Order: sequence, then C-alpha cells, then structure tokens
Amino acid sequence: MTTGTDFDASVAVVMDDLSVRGKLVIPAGSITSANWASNASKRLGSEKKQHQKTVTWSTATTATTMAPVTQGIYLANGAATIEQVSFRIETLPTSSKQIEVDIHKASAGSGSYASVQSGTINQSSSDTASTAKDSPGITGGTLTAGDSLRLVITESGSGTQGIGGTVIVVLKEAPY
Amino acid sequence: MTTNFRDPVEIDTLTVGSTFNAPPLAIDNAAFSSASTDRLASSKADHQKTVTWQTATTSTTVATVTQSIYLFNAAGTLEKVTVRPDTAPTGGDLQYTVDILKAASGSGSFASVLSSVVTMSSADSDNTAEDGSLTTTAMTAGDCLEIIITASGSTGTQGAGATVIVVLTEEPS
Repeated sequence: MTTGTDFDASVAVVMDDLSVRGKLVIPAGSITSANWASNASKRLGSEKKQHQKTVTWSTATTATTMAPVTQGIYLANGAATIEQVSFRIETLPTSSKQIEVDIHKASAGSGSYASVQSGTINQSSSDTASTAKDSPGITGGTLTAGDSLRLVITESGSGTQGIGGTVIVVLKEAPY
Repeated sequence: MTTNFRDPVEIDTLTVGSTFNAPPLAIDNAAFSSASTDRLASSKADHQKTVTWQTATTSTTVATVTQSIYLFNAAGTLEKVTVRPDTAPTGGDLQYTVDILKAASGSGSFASVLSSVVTMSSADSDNTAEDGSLTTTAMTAGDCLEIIITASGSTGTQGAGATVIVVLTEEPS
C-alpha cells in the first residue's frame, strides 16, 4: 500500500485481518465490552486496568450497639483515590446521642493520621434508619502506595446509641 | 460508498474519523497499553469483588451470628455464594447453616437471596466448598447484604473455622 493515501469512502470494510503497525486512532467510545477477547490468554490483564475496590467494616453483629473504635482498615498497595465513604446504621441513636464516622490516613513510616473528610458522617435520631449516608466531602482522598487508612468512630450526646453499623470506603487503585 | 478490502491490510497508522466497528473478541490484552497513563479507567469497567467473611480463627467453633457484610455503592449483580468449612461438624446432629440476605436502602427487612440456606453438617467434608443457589441477583445502589449463620443441634462436634465468600460484580461509582 502506498503512503499518504486517503480513502474517501463513507464505509470501509476490511474483509480479512487488519494489522496496524503503528498507532490506531479511533473515536472515543468506539471500543465496547463485546470487542474484548474473554478467553483466559487474551482478556485484559489486571495490570492494565485501574481497580475499584470497596473496603467494608461492620459491627460484629447487626444487633451490636455502636461504640467508639479506631481500627486499621486498608493499606494502599498502589496509587489510589478515595471516591466515597458511606455509613448505614440499622437502628438510629435516640435523643441527642449520635455516632460519628471518620476515615483517617497516614503515610508509610508515619503514625500521624489525619482525616480525609471535610467532616465526620454523623447518624443521629434525625436521620433515617437503614439508609446509607455519604461523606460530606472527601478532602484528602489521594493515596500513595504504603498509605494506611483507619476507621475512627466517635460518639457524642446523651441517649441510647445506635445499633448495627456498616461503613464502606470506595476507592480506585492502580494495579499491583 | 463502501470500499471492501478483501485481503489482509497492513497500515502504519490508522485514523478512523467516524465509527470504528471491530468484530466481537477482536481486541485482546496484548493490544492494550500498559502505560500508567493509558490504563483502563475504573469508570469504564464493571468490577468484580469478593466479599469475605470468616471465623475469628480457623479453629473457632462456628456460632450463630447476624452481621452486615456489604453495602452497594452502585448497581450490581451477585454471582456466587460459597461456604468452605475448615473442619465440618462430626458425629451427631450439630450443624450450621449459612444464608445471605438483602435489604433495600431505607428498609430493615432482609430477605434471602438464596433458594435455600447452605447447610454444613456431618455429611459434609472438611475443606470442601459448597455453593449456594442464588435466586436474587440484581442489586441497586444502597442495597445492603447480611450474613446469617445459624448453629443448631446438640450431639457430636460443631464445625470449626469457616470462610464464606460472596462474589459480585458492581458498576463503577
């Protein structure tokens, strides 16, 4: 084939194999799942894909009363970004009692943790039971390999504490 | 006008100005760049996740418990539920069952996603996984999954050490 040849055709169909030695430039969104090979030797390798992960923490049982706790929940293996933090509680606190969920981050080699949120996620009697409540904002959600995440649960007020909590941290992470 | 190329075509650089139609399965791993800037973004793929629940240790006697195990951030599909006993119950009627239940956002009413619970009894074998049969697979954002383990019986030895996995696919956030 000669170089610099334009094919001014509205539709071009290659009836056999098409080999492109250099760059293939195609319109955005052209490739769909159906185009991908799915057999084991040809499917998209995990090293070529950014991974979305959901870190889940929950009370020991759904009947367990929420209580303050600080616990390690994730260790970043690659560069990552926290997308969302959500907190669902099955039975709400009463009166002025509330339960507060925060996610803290520290770098490798550091025991100094700082919140990744603009504020804690609070569940109180004014919220709706069994309904996930999202973080008010992620302000420190960029992670590098070796960064550690902690769940920090605190409480305040008086009354009966809530029961049965689930916290998720959704993040996207570079492959290993 | 349609131009057909009936033999294999080799091109240095191909730029497609309009629609690019590739046959199914035409693109494989080798064709995809591994450069960090070229990786497939998480927003462009469904994600398979494995939710794992296990006893505190592999020698911990399996006991009755109800615990939340997952909260969907986006629509998803349950693919598989599997239970693997480290040591299955032996010698009597002691056994335990495993169920996975779902409740929608705003609801505390959990319903099983399995046609029946997975039962581990003296008829089962150590270290041998058993799958549950899913009857509900479609999940929406805000759905919550719960595991219920129910221990029963009075004779023999209860199972010790268990791992439960729920494999699911979820849309990107």
